[in-house]
Amino acid sequence: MSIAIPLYIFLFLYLIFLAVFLSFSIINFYHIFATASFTIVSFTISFFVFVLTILTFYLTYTLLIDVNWQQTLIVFDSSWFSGPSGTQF
Amino acid sequence: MHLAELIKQKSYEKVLYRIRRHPLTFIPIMALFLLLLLVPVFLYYVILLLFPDLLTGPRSYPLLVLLSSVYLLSMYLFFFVRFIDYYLDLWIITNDRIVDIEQHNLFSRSVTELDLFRIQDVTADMHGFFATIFNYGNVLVKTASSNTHIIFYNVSQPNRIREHLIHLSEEDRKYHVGES
Repeated sequence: MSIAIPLYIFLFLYLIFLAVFLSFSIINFYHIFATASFTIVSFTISFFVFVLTILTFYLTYTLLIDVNWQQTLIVFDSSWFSGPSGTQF
Repeated sequence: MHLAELIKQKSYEKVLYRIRRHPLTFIPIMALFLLLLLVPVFLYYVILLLFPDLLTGPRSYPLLVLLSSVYLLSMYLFFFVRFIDYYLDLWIITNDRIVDIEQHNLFSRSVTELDLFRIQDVTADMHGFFATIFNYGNVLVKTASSNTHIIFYNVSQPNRIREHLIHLSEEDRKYHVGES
């Protein structure tokens, strides 16, 4: 017996992570504005993080553009637990 | 939001100092961030050397890319949260009071106020090699009537701040003669 999951499940998990990432980033920006701390320093750091984030998104997109997400990944196979002679443990 | 709104500035009140932590105290966080950014590069070369098939496998390749992306974005978030924690600790000194705004983490912030005329004791404290060389440290402000005290953490020129606070406290006390 084997259990296989399609690769796009990992893409969905990644998208859920992105939603969390964006929520936390928005909370960070909110803190900067809510505490009257929008200065040249906070702007520079925010811009730096923003540029790095965009670059990472772009790189991830270009590296994954040709991937076939319909492929399956075997996460469990009963043969993994078979002995050298094929005996089940 | 403007600073005046944040501290609910009174009509006669004037903001004299706006103090944040010394920039040098953020350098260890930046160094750690840069080091953590190098981890995927290091791992890439390790995988290339030991398991080169993983980088070309039709299933392992997209998973590795997604994992690297998640790791990098988490590091940016970690850095940004640490910056917020560092930068949003703010001490505002007006001609009437001290407002201490401390950001403990992303969902925890405390605001403390202390009237200048209630100040009884101000201590400047510098510890360590870098603090002595770059002239930064803590300033502890105590009052007599209550247990309220404020600590300015790792601020530049703590002795100068201490002197100014003592002077401002004496000035303010003249307007509050008879009050406790």
